[in-house]
Amino acid sequence: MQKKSIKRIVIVGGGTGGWMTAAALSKTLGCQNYDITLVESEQIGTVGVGEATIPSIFLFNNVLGINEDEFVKETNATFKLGIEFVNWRKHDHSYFHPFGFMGVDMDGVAFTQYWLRWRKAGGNSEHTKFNLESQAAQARKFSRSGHEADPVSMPRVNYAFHFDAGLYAAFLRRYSETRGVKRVEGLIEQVIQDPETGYIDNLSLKNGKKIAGDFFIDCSGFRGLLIGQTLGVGYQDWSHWLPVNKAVAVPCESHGELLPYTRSTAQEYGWQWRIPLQHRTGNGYVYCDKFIADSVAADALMSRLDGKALADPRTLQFTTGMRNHCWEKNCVAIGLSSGFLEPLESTSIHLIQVAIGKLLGKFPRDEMSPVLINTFNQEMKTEYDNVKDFLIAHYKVTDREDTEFWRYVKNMSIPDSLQERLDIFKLRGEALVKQTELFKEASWFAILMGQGIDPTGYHPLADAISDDELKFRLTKIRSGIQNRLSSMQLHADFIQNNCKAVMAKNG
Amino acid sequence: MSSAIKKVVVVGRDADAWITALFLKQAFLSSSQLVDVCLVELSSDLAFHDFYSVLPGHQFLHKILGANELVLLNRAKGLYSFGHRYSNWSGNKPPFMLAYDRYGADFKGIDFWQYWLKALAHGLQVPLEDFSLGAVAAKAGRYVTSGSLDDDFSEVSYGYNLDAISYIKSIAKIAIKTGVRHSSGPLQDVEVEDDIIKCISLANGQKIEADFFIDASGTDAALIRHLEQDNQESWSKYFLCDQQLLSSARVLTPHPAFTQISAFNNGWAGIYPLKDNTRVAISYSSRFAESSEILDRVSIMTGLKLEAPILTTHSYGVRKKHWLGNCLAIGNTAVSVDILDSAHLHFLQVGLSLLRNLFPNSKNFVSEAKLYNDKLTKHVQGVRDYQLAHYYLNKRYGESFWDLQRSIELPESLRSRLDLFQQRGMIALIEEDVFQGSDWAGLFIGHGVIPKYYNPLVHQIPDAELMVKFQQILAHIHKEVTRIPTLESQIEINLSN
Repeated sequence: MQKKSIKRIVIVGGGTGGWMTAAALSKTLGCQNYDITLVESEQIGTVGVGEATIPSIFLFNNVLGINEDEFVKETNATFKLGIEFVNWRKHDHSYFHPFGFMGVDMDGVAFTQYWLRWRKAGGNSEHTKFNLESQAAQARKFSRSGHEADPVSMPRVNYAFHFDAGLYAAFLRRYSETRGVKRVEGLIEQVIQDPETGYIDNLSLKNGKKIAGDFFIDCSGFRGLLIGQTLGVGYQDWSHWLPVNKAVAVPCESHGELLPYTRSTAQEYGWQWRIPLQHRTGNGYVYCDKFIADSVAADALMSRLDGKALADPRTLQFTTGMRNHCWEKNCVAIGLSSGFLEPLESTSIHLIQVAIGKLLGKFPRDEMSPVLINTFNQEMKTEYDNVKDFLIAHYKVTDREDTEFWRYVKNMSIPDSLQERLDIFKLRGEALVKQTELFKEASWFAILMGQGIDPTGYHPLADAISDDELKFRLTKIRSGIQNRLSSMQLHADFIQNNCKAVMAKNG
Repeated sequence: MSSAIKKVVVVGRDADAWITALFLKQAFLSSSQLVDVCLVELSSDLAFHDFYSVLPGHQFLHKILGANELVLLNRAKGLYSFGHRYSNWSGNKPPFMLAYDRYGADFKGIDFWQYWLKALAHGLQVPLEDFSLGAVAAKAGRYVTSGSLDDDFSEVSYGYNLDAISYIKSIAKIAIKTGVRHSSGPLQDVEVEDDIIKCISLANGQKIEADFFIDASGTDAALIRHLEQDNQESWSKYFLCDQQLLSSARVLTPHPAFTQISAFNNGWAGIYPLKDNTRVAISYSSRFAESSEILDRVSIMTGLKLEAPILTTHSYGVRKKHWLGNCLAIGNTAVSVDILDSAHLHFLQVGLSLLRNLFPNSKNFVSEAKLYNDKLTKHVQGVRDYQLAHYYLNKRYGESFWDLQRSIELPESLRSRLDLFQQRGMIALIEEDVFQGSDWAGLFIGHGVIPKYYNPLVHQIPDAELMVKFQQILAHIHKEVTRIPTLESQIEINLSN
């Protein structure tokens, strides 16, 4: 095959993944040297039901050069400091998985280790007291921090967003189109492959249009039009570990104080999300249909809203898992077409941006080098695997055994990598997280402590400083958090003062 | 020495008795002179709401007692207090803070407030307390020790507010452990011979002889009244608040780092934060108000619901002589002062350190007793004057109680101190003064006494330079106060056991 330089990039699908990809490519590759086209059909709905993100979204926004207040206004967004997990460990129990750090690591030892030492010696402040985001969430506060050098005197505020995914896609569409991305409307009827190589050559649309490309990005969602249906890349099913396979979603009217966090409430056969936006609250029941009928799940959701429903409930189906590989021939799958890990830790958008980042890093000039492709595929698999283990831990480590669903997840077998982690955590309160992993020690600590593993010991190096020194440092850290906290505004006030959406928009 | 003191008996109750017994035991623990310390405990006067509010000197006392501060604070549900904030004492003037710290820096050896007075005369708007790190830190809810600061700009310190019953329980435990022998009253009889107590007998029939007796029984004066005649000096003409209401209220969060003293039409209410609740003490005069109306007024003023208030009467005065023969009256037995400025346990400590210095080495006590009596009397006078100044300097015109307090004839010692200050902003101290120059200056200036002239030596520093120095001080304090830990974090980490 002749070496043909890559000029024409075609993105299939205009949901969150499609427009994030289009925006990133138009900004980085640019439309002077590349011809970037996005094909979408208004007849195909997008999945986005109100999305929650994690702080890595900043990298993406920074690459795009997005003004944050503008972005918040345009997408009816609110700020998110973490996730509250209600009833996950047992009924009438809740814990918080915050963004940001637990205390301040000292002399190369994680703060949580010092906390374990201190608690063992009789200290009785919760570990969440040493995390700013937990404290701010509790006080319903939010403000951005500056960039002080000293995290002890004033910890920074780590946050992400809740936004309306439809509005986010529209926002990114405007961004992309301004930078030269061509948007083609229409249903894809056929995907034409090169008969020799099997590479995708062009798409023929129902309206007669034909879109040829050198490189295709599959953002078509769960169905995986290019990667699966056309190129036949299989799917690893992880539903024996993550058995939920449906979500019923409905927006409702905002009610009560504007919370700066997502709430995840464990239910009989899964869990329910609550995502506050400026103009409404997004809700959904994620469940496993082996245990509960769709209509019963929908009724349960509708009876557990804290405001008046604004639409009829909508049911989505999915299979947790991932593609055997995400890059095949001249096609890369990004977003749901590459895999889906359920929204428990708001990782969908993160995995989209990771894929975009990795794709840009390995973007081919002309030929599809197997080295690039293999590296990309291997890295994406690691990303999914790590997130997968973290999610499974939420289900596996629980006291709940009150329904068949919970009995199943509590007693299911889990990946060895996770089992090792749970064992070491129990022994010494650390998860031995590798640097490349998305969820760091602080996240594992929050989740495993919250779900009910109480470490019996701690790292011996945490004994190196004296009792007085330790107490002094703990006092300083608490003071820093109190200082920051007292300087913060109520979440609702911060939005009102800085980034109130011009009018209530429904995406 | 055959004539040395071999046995001391302390008769009394609560803080005065237990602390005295423990203090003496500790003082002689490492001494070759063996002194047997025996406590005859009388029934406690303490009730549920009782608290001790003490000055920074109490930290030092704890050291001598061999008591761990944090342990005691934990047991006594106590908190640090970095000073007193006085509000509503002077018409519409804003509250002022008297913190346990000095003001600014004494450039060229001249008291800082002299420079401040000059600047004030030239239009400075910044109150004196803003130049006190301790005051700024207290208002900002900080916990600070002078040891944690990098330089000696500040001498910040703290006193405590303690729950009385649990505090005394802890002290008693230490005392017993240290070897204080303990028996319980009541007292049956005191045998006196030639103005010397020979022996006391208890209701249980026990007879106790000793070389030296300490009366820590409080207003009973269970021992010393057998030795004295016309030994009382009353201060009722100075201090008009003869009634005291004690109560508890909900815990304040975040915990204030200071004690609040708020005046109202017939007296004042003190807010003493403890770790788990708040003690409220109200002083007022029965000549002008009933307890029920006082409670309503204070509840409204403080926004606190006052639980189960207990009313007691209070009389003010001092013994003319504290040491008679072989008997020493200590603490409340010696002097009954106002609880304002947290000075009421202070005389116990002063008395004990005087006693330690003058501990008799023979059975002829005359010269020691004379020196003791002279010194303690001067101490007492200084504190009484300091407390009295609050009342006298009030600016609540048109309220009978306060009008009367302003019209009292001051004791000569206070009169001359006030005159000197009004004339040239100067405070002349004596050795026995507990409150230092900056305490007095803070008190006078806080209550609105602005001297006619300031010290002319302040002109040594040019105005522009002085302004820069002032700004540097304010910036330094601001920086330090942001850096130091919050009181709340200190409570969480160190006082949560």
